[in-house]
Amino acid sequence: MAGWIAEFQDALVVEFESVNDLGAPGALDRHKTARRKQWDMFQTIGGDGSLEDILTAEKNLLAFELTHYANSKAMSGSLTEALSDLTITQTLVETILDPSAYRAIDASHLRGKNRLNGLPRDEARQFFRSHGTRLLNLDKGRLDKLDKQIIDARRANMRTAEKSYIALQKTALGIEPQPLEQSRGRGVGRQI
Amino acid sequence: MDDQKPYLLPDDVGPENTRLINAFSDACMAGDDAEADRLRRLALFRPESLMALKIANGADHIRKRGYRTDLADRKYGHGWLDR
Repeated sequence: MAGWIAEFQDALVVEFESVNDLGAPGALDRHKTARRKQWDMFQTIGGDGSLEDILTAEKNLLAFELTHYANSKAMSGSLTEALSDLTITQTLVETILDPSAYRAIDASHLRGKNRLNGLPRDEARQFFRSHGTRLLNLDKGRLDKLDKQIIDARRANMRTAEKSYIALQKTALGIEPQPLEQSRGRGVGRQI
Repeated sequence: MDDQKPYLLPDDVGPENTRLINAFSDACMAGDDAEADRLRRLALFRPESLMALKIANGADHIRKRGYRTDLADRKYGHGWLDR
């Protein structure tokens, strides 16, 4: 296991131990330091652009939110769905490294509404978008600055993850990357 | 929640455990990995945190990192790690 994830998990454990009794001596400081560390790490992971790392960090945070904070059926359902979709995305990130396996997914997403700029709008692409929206909806007034910074970093990471995934889709389907990021229309350049 | 009562204040969760958790937290935040690793194996963390780590990383992860599962065993029942 990469060292960073152990560090990230420790920061989550510290946050949720200190939040248990914020009136205890030192608890507020520990709570803030632990969240600041998470924020730093979300930014670092996003800066490195590793799809796997972004997904691993997000999965750990979502699991902590589910077990500690989910106090309604709606919240629990939303977090459970996000975790389930994230796990499917992790599987797709492995599948996409095998072009022949990914071509089967490509072939099952032929309808116009299931494609984005010529690429399959598969479950990973759907997750990056839906989770980005979920995080946007979390950005409510009664959060402190650090909470908002963490949410912003997580949203930025979803965008980074989507870009990395699009590059993998193009590689798997034999589509040349387009430097100017200008789409030339659906299906152009596919060499299957 | 009522179902939390049985494990909120068990005999082994007291000032000594608080001291361990605080020391663990300080070691983590100071980047003292060896001390954090030692204390991680001694402290009793909240059951929800262990369940979260299991959901995100699997049961083997909990075992490899040496977390004590006493409180989680009480809340979720023995065998929760492999269910």
